[in-house]
Amino acid sequence: MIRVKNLTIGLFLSMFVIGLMCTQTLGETLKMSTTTSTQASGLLDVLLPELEKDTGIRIKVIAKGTGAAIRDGIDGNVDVIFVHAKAREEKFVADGFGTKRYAVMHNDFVILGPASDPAGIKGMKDAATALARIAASGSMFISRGDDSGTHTKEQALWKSSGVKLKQTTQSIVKKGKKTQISFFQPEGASWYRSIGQGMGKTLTFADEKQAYTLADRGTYIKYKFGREVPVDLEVLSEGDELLSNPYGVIPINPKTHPHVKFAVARQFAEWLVSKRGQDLIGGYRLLGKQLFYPDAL
Amino acid sequence: MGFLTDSLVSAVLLAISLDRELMEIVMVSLRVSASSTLIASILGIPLGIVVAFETFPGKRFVITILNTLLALPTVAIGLFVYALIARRGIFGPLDLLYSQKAIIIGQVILIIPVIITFTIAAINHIDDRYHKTAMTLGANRRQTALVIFREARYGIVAAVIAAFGRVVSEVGISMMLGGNARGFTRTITTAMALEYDKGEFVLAVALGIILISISFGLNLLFHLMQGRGKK
Amino acid sequence: MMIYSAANLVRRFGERTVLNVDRLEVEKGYIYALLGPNGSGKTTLLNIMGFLDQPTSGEMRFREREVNFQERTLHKLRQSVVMVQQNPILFSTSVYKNLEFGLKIRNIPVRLRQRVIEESLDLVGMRHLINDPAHKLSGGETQRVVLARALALSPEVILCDEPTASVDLENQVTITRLLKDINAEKGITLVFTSHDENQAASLPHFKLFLEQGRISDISYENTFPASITPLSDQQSCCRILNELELNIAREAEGLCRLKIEPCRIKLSRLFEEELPQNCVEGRVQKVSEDVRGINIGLDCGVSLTALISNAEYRELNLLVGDSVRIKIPPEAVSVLDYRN
Repeated sequence: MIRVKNLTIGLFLSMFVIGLMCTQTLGETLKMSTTTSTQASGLLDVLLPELEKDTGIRIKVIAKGTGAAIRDGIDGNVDVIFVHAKAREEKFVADGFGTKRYAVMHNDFVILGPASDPAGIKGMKDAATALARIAASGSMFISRGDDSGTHTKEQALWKSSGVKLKQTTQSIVKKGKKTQISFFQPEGASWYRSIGQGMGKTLTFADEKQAYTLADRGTYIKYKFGREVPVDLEVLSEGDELLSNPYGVIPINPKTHPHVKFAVARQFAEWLVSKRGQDLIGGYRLLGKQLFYPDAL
Repeated sequence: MGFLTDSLVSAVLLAISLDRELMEIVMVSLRVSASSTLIASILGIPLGIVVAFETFPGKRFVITILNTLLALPTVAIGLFVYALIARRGIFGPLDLLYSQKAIIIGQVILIIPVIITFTIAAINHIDDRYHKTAMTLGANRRQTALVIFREARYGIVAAVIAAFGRVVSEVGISMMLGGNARGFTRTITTAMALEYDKGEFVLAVALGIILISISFGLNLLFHLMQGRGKK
Repeated sequence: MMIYSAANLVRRFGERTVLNVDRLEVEKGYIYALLGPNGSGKTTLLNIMGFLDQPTSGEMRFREREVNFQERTLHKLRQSVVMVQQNPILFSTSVYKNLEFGLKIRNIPVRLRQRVIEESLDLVGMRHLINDPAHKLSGGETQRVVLARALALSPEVILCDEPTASVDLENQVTITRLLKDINAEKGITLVFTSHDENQAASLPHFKLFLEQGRISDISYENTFPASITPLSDQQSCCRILNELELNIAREAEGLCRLKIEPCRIKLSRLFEEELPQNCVEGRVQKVSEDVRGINIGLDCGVSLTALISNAEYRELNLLVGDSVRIKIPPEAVSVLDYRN
């Protein structure tokens, strides 16, 4: 019996080792958490094959909301994160979960709405004032409300819009300690819909309700020009400095999670900010439109 | 394990503080689920009674279809109703999508087969002697059916509770047709899905615990009621 | 007046004929026992008489009026006939509500209902349970309340399917007495079934025997499977269940069913050294009385019933447990039919 057991264990072990060796010989595989909008933009489909050609690194992409993507980094489920919520990324590094934030690129957000534009914000450059107008007109506004980068940006915009905000706080326990989760949203607003879903879903929701929303340009272009039935929404306000959306890549700190492939992750991050990576990003076109602007050159 | 205890403590903390956000979500869930269960019961129980008592050609086929519909995935119903009530759909002008009404429509479709088949089963479960006894005491067909219905009442209540359990715990329809709009169509399950997406697992599990508590309470209530009926 | 008269009543379930009654007459005001083994069609016949089932073919007259078996007619006729099923059920509500059910349907005013219900429960001695939930009653209590529920409707006929089969001995006696009283005091015609002829043997005025769906005047008591072998030109030997060996008049050889006439069996307390031909010893198991005389249930390897006169009974002074000598003369034995 014991011999059989030993044999089985031995067999498994050797299979495991062979398996490990195979991945070694085929080049490194990294696990990367990113946001659904990054994946949806199609940029990774261009970048990653080039990356493999140059360095042999293969990336396993896990796309989630920004919150969940960062959470994956905190829990050490991945080797690297690629997200767009600058303040939270910096906190992530400060908290010791990541080694360094590499500023890779940025794109921008746009305020969308129906062509009829009941709030009259078309052509406004000042995003905060545009939001104030929407609030004043009582037109429906769809918020992602999912703690994503876009949601974080939207809350910041509302704060600078001067609209009276309500803070909702929930007390929960994390790691045995009481912590609080807060959201901001316009106070007593029946026109404000926080739907807690991804960008695509938010666009179709706004389309259905012919409402205003804040979206990243990439997803908007896809839903406007890349679909058989395009969303019936127009860009009404764009170009504000506040609407910029910077992306960062952060290798997970091996001091916090010793099992991560830090060296490979760093190699990946450095490739992204190299001339080669930056040229690829700047040259990427979605349906003929430039989406991302390199930040590292 | 720390994660689970965190979730448990958070659930209790949220529940006892009567957290407004939480109460709102629970209320939306209960209101929507209760409405769809009520509507489905009003439609489904009489239909079940008719199918159980009447003999008509194709009856067995109808029952087979109903049994098949029991396994209908919520996302299929969600998609189907979505196509009908979306802005470009036939009922688009009614502006139903992403409202509680939309969820209720989908959920009614989901559980009508549950209520009908359970009602049929509850009635078929009643011994033929009740039927004969009512008849020999002079009851006509309607009165006999009423007797059987009364004898089957616990089975039918069980059907209603099972249906409620199904809608309160489903996520596909609520998400697709309700859209998870906070304070409007955010239910316990869609909130759980959202908290998961946000990486707030503690809150997701806390909501799950509350959902289980509701189901448990409901079943307990039914159990007590059944016990009282049997004494 | 004949309350039921039927001719050529046939009931088939698919291919199987479960009832095939040439003639049936039930006279108003009497008690009829419908006897026969399980599966002989008793319940089917009772269901038809209770207008709960329809014959596949045949004619039936109720109160000398032709019955057309249409649901509307049947519903009307059910108002005067109540059937008490085997293992009867009460609705899962109070005893009172159970009795009220039929009265409500008949639009009896509430105050009258109350009186009728109380009277009916009094009659079966169950008044004290009037407000109890029905499902808490014992088997015997249930049977009696079910009878009260039938009585409350003052039907012309009460049909009882195996009224004493599923209750204890004490309740058997009570229910038998109750049925007798119901018939005597209210003049209600009573038809009950039983698979055991000896049970409630004193109750019926008339016995009808059902066998494989047919009514016969032959009682199945003392009916046995037997094998016949020839002995001589005049005599055959019959062997019953490997227990009894009797000499009888010459019959054809083979497997058959035969009947031993109860009134032709002779009992005696005389014990000789040698057992004469066609004699066996047995024990008295049961003594009961009916209109014809005294029935003595005997165990002599097989269960046998002998019918003796009251005078003989007194003379023999038989007690249960006594040993007796049983003489079965050849003329008491008759072959009913052969297998194959």
